[in-house]
Amino acid sequence: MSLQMKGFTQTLATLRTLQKKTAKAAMRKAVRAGTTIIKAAVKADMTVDKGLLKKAEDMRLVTNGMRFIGVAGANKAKLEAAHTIDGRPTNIDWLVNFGHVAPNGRFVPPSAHTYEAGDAAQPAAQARMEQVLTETIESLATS
Amino acid sequence: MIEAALTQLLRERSGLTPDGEGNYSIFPSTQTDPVNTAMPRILYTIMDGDEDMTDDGPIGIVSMAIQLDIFTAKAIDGRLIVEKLRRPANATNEQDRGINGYAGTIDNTQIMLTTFGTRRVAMAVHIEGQNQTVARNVLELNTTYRELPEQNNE
Repeated sequence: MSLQMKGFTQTLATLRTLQKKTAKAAMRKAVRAGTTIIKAAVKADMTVDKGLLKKAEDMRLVTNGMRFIGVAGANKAKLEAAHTIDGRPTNIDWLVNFGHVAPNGRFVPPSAHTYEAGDAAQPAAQARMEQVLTETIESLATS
Repeated sequence: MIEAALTQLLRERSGLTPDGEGNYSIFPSTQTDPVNTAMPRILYTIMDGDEDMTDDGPIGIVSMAIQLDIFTAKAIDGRLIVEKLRRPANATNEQDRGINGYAGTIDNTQIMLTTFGTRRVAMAVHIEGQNQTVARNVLELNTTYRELPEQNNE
């Protein structure tokens, strides 16, 4: 999902006056805050295999120049660590979200929990990003 | 209903052939038969749906994400169905028409646009209980539609 931020012209104008490095730090902080809320929502909406998947839920930021992408989902390394014991697949997050075929041949329908959680948490995530960005920029501009 | 319209669209444009009784293997993903029953088989799941809103409330236009799971005995069969579905809906030759970019009215459902998302996965699935491997292709279909009022034909 993508979030579009509008309506705080003054903050964005201040953001443009900052050094690129400082502006990136502010953006990173804001995207991280928004992604944290999405991650919490995905974790709370988990429908199947709650223990292992909930523990493995994680987030990270991908940056490309002035583009910041927050990714929320299961951490494969955590799943690998947990699943060496019980032999479960490490892509269990994908299998739950997009469905899988059970050993008896029946299709287990997708839970689509990431879609629902993302939709539900989007307004809160957007508001939090705007708040963190405004606070950070104001604090940087005055320091 | 969008489910009925989607089923009809897939029936017409996926290239699937009916069984002896004229039934097509196109079902919602809650269908409980094993996936290797009457292949090729298409299962669909509504993953996400948002109705557009104004200050006066919902306007009846819904944007929906649908997942298609195509099960075939051979990987090549699945790939051919995927390629058929992903063809443009307005191809000159009627037999070449897929559902990419489809817009039209089926029964009382007005489909405004149908496009495929970027997620496209192909995998082999082993059915342990029957010791058989089938091919699964996953497609992401996005559609915008609205339900028209019932037509009174009396």
